[in-house]
Amino acid sequence: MIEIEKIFRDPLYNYVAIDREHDKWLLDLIGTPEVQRLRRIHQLGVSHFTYPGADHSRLSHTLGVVHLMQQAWRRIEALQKDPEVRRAREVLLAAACLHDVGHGPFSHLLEPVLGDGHEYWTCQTIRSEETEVHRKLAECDLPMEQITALIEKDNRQRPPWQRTLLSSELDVDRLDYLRRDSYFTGSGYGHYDWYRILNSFLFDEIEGQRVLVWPDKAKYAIEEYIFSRFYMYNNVYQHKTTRGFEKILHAAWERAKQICDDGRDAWFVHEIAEFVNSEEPSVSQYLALEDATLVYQLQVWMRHPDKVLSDLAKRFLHRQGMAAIEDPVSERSVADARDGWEEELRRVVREQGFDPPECYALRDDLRLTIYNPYTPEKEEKEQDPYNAIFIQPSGGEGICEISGLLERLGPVTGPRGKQYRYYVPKECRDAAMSLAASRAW
Amino acid sequence: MTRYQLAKLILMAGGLDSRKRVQKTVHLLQAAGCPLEVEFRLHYYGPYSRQLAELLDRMSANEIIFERPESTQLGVQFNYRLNEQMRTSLESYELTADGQAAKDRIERYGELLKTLCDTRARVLELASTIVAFRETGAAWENALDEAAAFKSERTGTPLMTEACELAQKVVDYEDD
Repeated sequence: MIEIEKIFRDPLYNYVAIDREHDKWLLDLIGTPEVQRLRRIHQLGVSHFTYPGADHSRLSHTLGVVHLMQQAWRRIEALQKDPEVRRAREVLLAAACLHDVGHGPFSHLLEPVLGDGHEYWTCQTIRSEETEVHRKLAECDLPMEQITALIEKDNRQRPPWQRTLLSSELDVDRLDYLRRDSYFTGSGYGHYDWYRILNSFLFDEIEGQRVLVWPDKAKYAIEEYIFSRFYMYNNVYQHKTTRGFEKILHAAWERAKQICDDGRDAWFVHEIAEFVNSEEPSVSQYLALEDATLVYQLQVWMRHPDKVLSDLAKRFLHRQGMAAIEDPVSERSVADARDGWEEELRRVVREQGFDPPECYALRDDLRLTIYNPYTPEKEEKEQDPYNAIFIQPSGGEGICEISGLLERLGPVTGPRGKQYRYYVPKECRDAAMSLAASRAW
Repeated sequence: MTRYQLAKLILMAGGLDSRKRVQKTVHLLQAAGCPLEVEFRLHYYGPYSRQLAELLDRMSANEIIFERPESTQLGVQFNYRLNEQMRTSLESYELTADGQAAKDRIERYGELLKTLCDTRARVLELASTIVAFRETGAAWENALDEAAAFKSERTGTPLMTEACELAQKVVDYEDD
């Protein structure tokens, strides 16, 4: 006898269960090669260089997001009889299943050098007739444009409450990855009452549009979530060792491109060569890039005659990180001394024998990260369902943003710390630190 | 966007009242060609940049600009001014070669900035939204329709007409 539900065992939820008959389409979607490819993409990029347990895949996160969307849907069914709302079930579950399907090697790692982000490739994967995902959605008559509208950056076609569930400051994506990343890194910061959050939201209206808000009784669960997010941001996502390896890889990539531009052979492996040499890479060319492709590329680069490229590849694969130098540039003046500091830093690095210094004096812009702490807008009229978490206070007053209700959130929702960090070879650490301390920058 | 650029805009405007006005002013100036390099996303009330919001907060925390909360009918709004000490510091920077170049790049948008300062916040918001839809590649008419639908306004009202004229002026600014 066939079991009614297909069960995926999961360390966070124990059972992720999908109805074999009613949601066969969803199981079929999970079974497509494009979704299965996510097994071969590390969820946390190269964080396993810092946290050896962080080997979990994008697929396990995807299944977690599907599970949480199912939970949220039970709540919606109990709250809403409006047929228009109830028609959204398949779209929401499909979007949950596919929201990360366009991730490249080591998730966000190559996004700064490849140009387009994963949302773009996710939408391309859904739209492209060459993918199994597209064929499956077409076969089931699922509205692809509604699904991509939920995933695409800046697309506001779907009602705000749907966007809130999948992609907002308090969505099923974050609710899963914060706990999952915490669990697999072993860092222990991702504890919050997610069950309360997913089983207490309500529908309300802002300027005539249906939005999700949380009742007063959920505010402490959300407070825990915001603190968890802050701790994970500072301790895991912005970890200086992890970020340092990301910078080494970006430097190697830029060096290879420079070699190409100089008319030499950068020894790109077949899949990467096809992608970089194509003016408009196809979806299949993009999806051919996986973690293993990049690791193999680095193994090839280790043998490359260009000493810099070979050295950077070795540093990455042999886990020989660089030294992190905290940003010495003051933010207290109108003028910015950053250019002067960086020029001097490159001079120091060159003097230590690392040439060209652009490959060894690396700047990390901490603002350019996918993971952020919760920073609501201060002015009420700029807060909206996409950048704020709304609470319905028990006193019957109108809805308000949560940090206006819980003052102790102030220290974790204000401006972030330093915006930049620098990396140099460990051999240059002392000279770079002396330079930083030599005067007020 | 640099600290100098934001401080200079606040100085040239004689102060900017409300964060919403700061957001929409910067968005429209950038759309007119001013090289501010701010990334905007379309939010519920129109184009919004978290990067700009954070820059305002950091510059206030570092006392480069002065932030003053004010209670209004729509809730608390925050107003921004440059204090005398920072004004002097900004003028000293403008005497350097880098500062002079930065000054020249921004002052050529002085006339447009004045127009934006004299415009009601709601019109700024609508014009900024029209420009945002235009930036997605929509034809002018479509951008108008999409912005009107997005902001729950009707095309052809005096408010939308004013916003449309402003948006047109911004988009054509470089060509003038």
